[in-house]
Amino acid sequence: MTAQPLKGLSRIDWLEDFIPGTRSHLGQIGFTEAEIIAFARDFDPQSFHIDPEAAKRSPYGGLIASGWHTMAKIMKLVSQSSLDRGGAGFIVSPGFENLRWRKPCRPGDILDVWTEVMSVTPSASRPDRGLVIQEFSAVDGTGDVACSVTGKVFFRKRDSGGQDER
Amino acid sequence: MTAFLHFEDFEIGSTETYGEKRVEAGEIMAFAREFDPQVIHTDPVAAAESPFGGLIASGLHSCSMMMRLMCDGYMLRSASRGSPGVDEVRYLLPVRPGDVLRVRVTVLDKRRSASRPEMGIVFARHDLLNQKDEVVLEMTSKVMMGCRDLKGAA
Repeated sequence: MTAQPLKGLSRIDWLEDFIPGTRSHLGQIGFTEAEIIAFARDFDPQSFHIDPEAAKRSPYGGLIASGWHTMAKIMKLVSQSSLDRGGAGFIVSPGFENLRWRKPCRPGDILDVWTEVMSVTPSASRPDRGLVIQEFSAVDGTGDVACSVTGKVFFRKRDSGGQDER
Repeated sequence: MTAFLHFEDFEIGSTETYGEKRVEAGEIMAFAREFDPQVIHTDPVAAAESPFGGLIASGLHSCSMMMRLMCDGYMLRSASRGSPGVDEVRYLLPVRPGDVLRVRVTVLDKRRSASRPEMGIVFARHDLLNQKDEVVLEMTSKVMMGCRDLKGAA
């Protein structure tokens, strides 16, 4: 890992603060067996997510987290980091692309979550805002990317006053 | 369609609708407190004053509720081997307490694996519908599906 954590992350809150190419460490995520099973019982009750014995006989050879659980844990770091910065610049996400579950996440795994700013595009139709595209990646202890996703969020410009309809 | 589904059973162009799931305010807030603690998802009073005019579900919560509808609709009675990923999710409309959701699955394409002939990849679009038949969320994704005929070509 050669990228440097972004200095002054706490000051990023507005569209102008996102600089393409900037890479920063958002935090870590991890899973317990109980958490994996609880999430999957609610949202993804396939046997390899809820039943450790059945999971052993599956192609995965043991219990693995629902991919949506991994995604939700990554988004928790994203959501919390926005709130920690005051959250005034965040408008709304229109969605995401290229969500890749490359390696299963298992109980006890700890993953480092990184974000890289891919592009910043001012809106042509609404001058108070722009679209920030970021690549998020969750990296396991061996350096492999277990999960990655391209997220899209509209942020306000600093001079927009911070209040408007969405 | 109640039989156990294999790769061979997914017909390109076919569409099925499954569900339903009524969305409760308590579930929206509980999910958001754990994974997406923005006030529009956690605080009905603050959300009422927001541009959304009331509590809305986190987008990831909508994705997760759709996954449950997919599981109950067809995946739990299939030879699913999990998914390598999702090409795109578009959040089109807010999901609010009291909404009743269903999932509409359209098989876009499928391809037998060359390296692992016991399975194939099914490419599908999943539309999450509300009680007004509006599409609130659209997802294109892939599922690895075991084959009934372990040696034949698709």
